[in-house]
Amino acid sequence: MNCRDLVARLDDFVDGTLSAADRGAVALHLEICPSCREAEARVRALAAGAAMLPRAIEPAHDLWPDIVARIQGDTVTQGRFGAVRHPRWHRRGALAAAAAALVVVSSVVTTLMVARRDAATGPSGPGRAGTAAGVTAATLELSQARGSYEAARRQLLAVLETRRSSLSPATLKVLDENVRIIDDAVRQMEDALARDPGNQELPSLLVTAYRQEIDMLQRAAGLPARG
Amino acid sequence: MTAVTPTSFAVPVDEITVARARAGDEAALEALFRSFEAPVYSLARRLTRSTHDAEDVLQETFLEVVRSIHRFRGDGSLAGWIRKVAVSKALMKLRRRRGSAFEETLPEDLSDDDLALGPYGPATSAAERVDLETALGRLSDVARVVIWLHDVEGYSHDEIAAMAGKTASFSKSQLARAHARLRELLAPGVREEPCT
Repeated sequence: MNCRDLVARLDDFVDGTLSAADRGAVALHLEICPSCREAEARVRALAAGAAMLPRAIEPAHDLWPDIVARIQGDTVTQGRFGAVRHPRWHRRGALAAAAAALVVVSSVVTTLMVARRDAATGPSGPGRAGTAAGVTAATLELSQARGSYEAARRQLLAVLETRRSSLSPATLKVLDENVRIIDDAVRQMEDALARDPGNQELPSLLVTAYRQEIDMLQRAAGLPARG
Repeated sequence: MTAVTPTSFAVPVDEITVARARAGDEAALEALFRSFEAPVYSLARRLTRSTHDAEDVLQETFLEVVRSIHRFRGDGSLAGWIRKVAVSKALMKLRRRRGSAFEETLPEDLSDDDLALGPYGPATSAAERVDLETALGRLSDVARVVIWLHDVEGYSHDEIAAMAGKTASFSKSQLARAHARLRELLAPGVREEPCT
């Protein structure tokens, strides 16, 4: 097998879908060819990188009410959807319980959520891109979320600072490391967005990173003191 | 090159909720929506690269869930079924948007601008992931879809072929070319010329 043959089989080799005979031939060639080993490393790195990409982009606003409206006008689902309904008080009770479970600065987190919704229902409509100035719903959402994020982050870090002595060193280590990782990712995504302001994905990814950090800090601020 | 990290669709759903949803329980259906809205929306955003289309895909996916969940017998996982519905709706969206996304072919040559991206190595730092995001954004619909479905979602070529109405060899060849293009985008100047 020469290098040209190997390049043609590299994806299948890394994928594990080559026949035993071809797999053996590729492995043999890789042992003696540094250049092909580098190519193999690049293919594997690509797969690892793709697997690490953020996969938790949230919609800019709540779409369930729209879906319910469409279901109610849909002859196929009529009669099936809502066959079982729960009294409203039941939901209110659940919401009250959820609200009671919230810990510090929930209002700030709410501000972030409202920023998302307001951005989505702004002049250009829910999640629709494109105003005359080239401002998209995603960038509008980002600019609104950024201010709330920074305020929430400051407040939560201040709360955590006062609680440091009550948390275990192991917890603090994990927390500090996570804050550092998220801050690093946020900074690098912001740098990338500055270099590529037209990027469609980065604003949503940044907002998601903001929310992840706030969620984490909020949970950390509510952690019980070490016993 | 199947992803080794847990899928974002790995959402725990208890059997009681599924049974209630199958019976048309509105609260249970909403609970399913809340569990899967982010994974479905994220997948749709990745495949369509459009907020508007991703919202449509999310809505259409859950309309389909409401219509068909009474037929879901639990042979596979609920998450796997919902994910497949979402992929199908996203592919339909792409076809409607551009005629047929899977009729595209990948350009052979890269511009200098395409090549003006940072290096990429085995370690995946945040900066490298951003580079990969940017590079994925520069791929054609078909290349991006095949890479995402295969490398990230872990679908086989046979499964991608079935969902896209193409052959497995089409999926395979598109993936190989898309990988080659991504590697060129991510490592400018590193040409994978056969050495012998």
